[in-house]
Amino acid sequence: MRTWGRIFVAYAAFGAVAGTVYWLRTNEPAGSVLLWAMAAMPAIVVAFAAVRGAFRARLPEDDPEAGPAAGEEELGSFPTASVWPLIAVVGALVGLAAIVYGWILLPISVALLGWALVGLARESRG
Amino acid sequence: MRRAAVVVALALVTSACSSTFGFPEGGTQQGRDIRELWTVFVLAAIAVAGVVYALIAWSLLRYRRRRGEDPDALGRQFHANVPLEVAYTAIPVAIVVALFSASLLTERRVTALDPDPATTVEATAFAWGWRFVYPEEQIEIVSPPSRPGEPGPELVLPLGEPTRVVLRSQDVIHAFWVPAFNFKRDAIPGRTTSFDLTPTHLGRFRGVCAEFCGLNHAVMTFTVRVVEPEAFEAWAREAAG
Amino acid sequence: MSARGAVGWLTTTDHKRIGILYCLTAFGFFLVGGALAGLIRAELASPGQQVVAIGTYNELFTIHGTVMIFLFLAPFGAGLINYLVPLQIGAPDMAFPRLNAASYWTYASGGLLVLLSSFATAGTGAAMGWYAYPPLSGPRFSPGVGVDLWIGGIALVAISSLLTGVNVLTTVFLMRAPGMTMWRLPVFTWNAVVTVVLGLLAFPPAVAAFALLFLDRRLGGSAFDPAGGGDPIVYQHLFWFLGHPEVYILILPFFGVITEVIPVFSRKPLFGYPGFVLATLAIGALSIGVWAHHMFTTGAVDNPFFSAMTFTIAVPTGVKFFNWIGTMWGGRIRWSAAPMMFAIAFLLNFLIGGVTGIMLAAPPLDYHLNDSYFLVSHFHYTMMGGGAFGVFAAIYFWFPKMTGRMLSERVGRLVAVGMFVGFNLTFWPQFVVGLRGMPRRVPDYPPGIGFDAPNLVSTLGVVVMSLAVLLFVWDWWRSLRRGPSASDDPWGGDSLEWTTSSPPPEHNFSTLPAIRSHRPAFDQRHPELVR
Repeated sequence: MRTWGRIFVAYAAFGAVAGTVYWLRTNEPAGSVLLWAMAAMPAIVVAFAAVRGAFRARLPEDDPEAGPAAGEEELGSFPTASVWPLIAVVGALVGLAAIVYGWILLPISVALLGWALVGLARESRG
Repeated sequence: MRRAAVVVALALVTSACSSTFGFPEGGTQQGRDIRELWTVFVLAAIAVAGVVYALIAWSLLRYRRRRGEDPDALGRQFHANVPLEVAYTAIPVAIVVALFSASLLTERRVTALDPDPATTVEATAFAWGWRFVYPEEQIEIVSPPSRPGEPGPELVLPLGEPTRVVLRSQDVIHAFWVPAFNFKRDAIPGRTTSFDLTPTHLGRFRGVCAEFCGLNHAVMTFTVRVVEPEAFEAWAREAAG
Repeated sequence: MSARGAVGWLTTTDHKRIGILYCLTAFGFFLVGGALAGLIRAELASPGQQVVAIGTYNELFTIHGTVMIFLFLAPFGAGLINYLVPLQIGAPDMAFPRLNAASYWTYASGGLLVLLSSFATAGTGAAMGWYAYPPLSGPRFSPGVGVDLWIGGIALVAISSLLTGVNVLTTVFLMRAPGMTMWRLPVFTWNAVVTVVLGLLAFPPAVAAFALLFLDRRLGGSAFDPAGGGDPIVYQHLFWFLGHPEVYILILPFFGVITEVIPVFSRKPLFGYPGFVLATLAIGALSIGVWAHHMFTTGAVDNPFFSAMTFTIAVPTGVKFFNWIGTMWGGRIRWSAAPMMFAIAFLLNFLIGGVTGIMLAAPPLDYHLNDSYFLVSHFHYTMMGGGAFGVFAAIYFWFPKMTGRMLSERVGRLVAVGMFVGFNLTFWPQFVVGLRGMPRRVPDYPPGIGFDAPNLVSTLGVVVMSLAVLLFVWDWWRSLRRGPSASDDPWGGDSLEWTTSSPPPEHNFSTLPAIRSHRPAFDQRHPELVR
């Protein structure tokens, strides 16, 4: 848990330093903002995890001496099949085609996406 | 025997140093600078690749599993060697610092703009051709419509003197490339960019568009003709007519 | 329970099946992209125009580049990541299985749009090069519907990559087996982590660039058109901010592959595991700060800054080479095994790509070499000589695990040698013509200025390579049905996937071994060596 936090902090620091050096050398806005955004993205994730207390949790995968039995607790259930991802993506594809070929396709896209949303919600409730 | 080997090695090294390894000799001062940098880089690349290839070949041959050997036999189970790892990180650092420094010095020379160029050409790229304007001499040269086999317009430069090229584009992105000069620069609409060419060789050289610019990109060629300064004056008077 | 047959594949949320779908689709795109490359080389075999019209040629290289980069190499890597990461960390599946299925279908539909953008647009196909520079890709110069479909397709592929990224990171950070600390992750999984982090950081700006381009094209914007006050250089910044990390997104999974293969066939642990991981992380960070080395010749960027960053990235890449050599040193190398032969070919080819990359990192040399065939050859030495050879190493290595059957070892050796010879015949001459001044993206060149012979050799090389690939496809098809059965661990592997059955059951493991190092399967076979 803590290792990935350190990696993200290092990436954020790299982005901040590189962006600042780049800005001081060039005053070029596009690249500077991109590098600072590279710093901001991992920083946001680490900050969120820290606030939620994620770095204080002790997980069996972080214990170098943990045996296989330590992982007995339930990770959650994993579905093996679902038709909704496919329907959602077909809806999105039709939506993109609507932009290119004509807005008439848009209702079909919205209907498919809505159907997939309802289906997914019902399925994950069990 | 050993002396012969040394002689052969020396001969190889000297011929290697005088070879351009496929790179054009460079028809301008800037191009020659770039070619010299290329020689440094190629020699470094050959040295590095030679060492790495030799290490790979040695490992594969020396440590191959031999016929009849137990298929499950293990190699020596070592994991690390810290001094070695420090060395193989530090040596590449030293190499790239040296190469970067050489590159930086060459770049400064190649992109330097002479405060007092002998003449100026305003080159404008368009889809698909070139327009060369000499404002001082009041000359304008424009491509005929590009088609295969058409050499394109002729850019005339005086020998041994810096010519300022001011590059623009009228529509999409193009690039001005004279392979014999080892140099190209992108022509970007809405921007102006300048560089100097100081020819060191008389002759005609092929120029091409190097940035893909649509249907007839491949035939968007031009010619560079380098002449003596006196001949340039004469040509300019006649062309301005 | 998952359904059988086609419905089962269409509705699956099992990471293994999704991984296989990714790999199969991506390999299909490899064959498509290869066929396009064959047409390109046929046209270039001799001067003059013989095979295709000039406009068609421009579509060919546009779609060839797009397919190979966005639809073959990166998704094949994503397929391996999907298949292997949960197995290697001892997890039952990815963290979000339905999201995972959605990523695959998003990628597949993006690929469909890209193909449509060229093949179903009646003469208005996308023909602006794979990096779609405006103003050429803008409304005035590419008015057809092709570029719009292309933008839609790439946007979907980008979204798919973002969804996969979130999924993989959550899985690796939170679902490792007990005892599998981050510093015991298998090296492939480490490379997968850095790959998806790069995707998460680099794809959003590119999607922004494509969205702005779309506004310019369809809604009268002028973000990138100087005629309306825009700046094409901004597009280049946004695009290459993706475009350069993208090449590491392409290659890192295959660094991971050969770093799994080499220790197994050398019967040794990876030499310098911590250094290797740190080098991978460093490559990830640095690769984000090098993008404008694609723009040295614009005269509009800070060349020394990007040159310095680019030189720096050579150091961690060099470190990896020494990791690989150190791993082979003192081993018992079985280099006649097909996965190992492809891994060795990877090393030999990628080194050429690496040293020529150093040359291109020097702006003055780039002034001559950029947009020439030298550059084309350089990136094919990394992407094809490295990436695609890594694909084959991965197929030969994990095919037994995925299918429970073995590919033919003898045919595999033949394929490896054929591809290696064909590849070098194809691309070495391109260095020569590039130095002599042949620009890329041209269907024709003048005769008699040193371009003829190398181009012909290059085309012959493609013939050799194509035969090797077809031989592989035949052997794959045959082995899938009639290949000898594979044991759970045919190679003597190191990571957890070799401790479960071939193919693994639903939810992967019935029992897990104790994990005390980064190679738990090895420890299980050799308890006497556990430290």
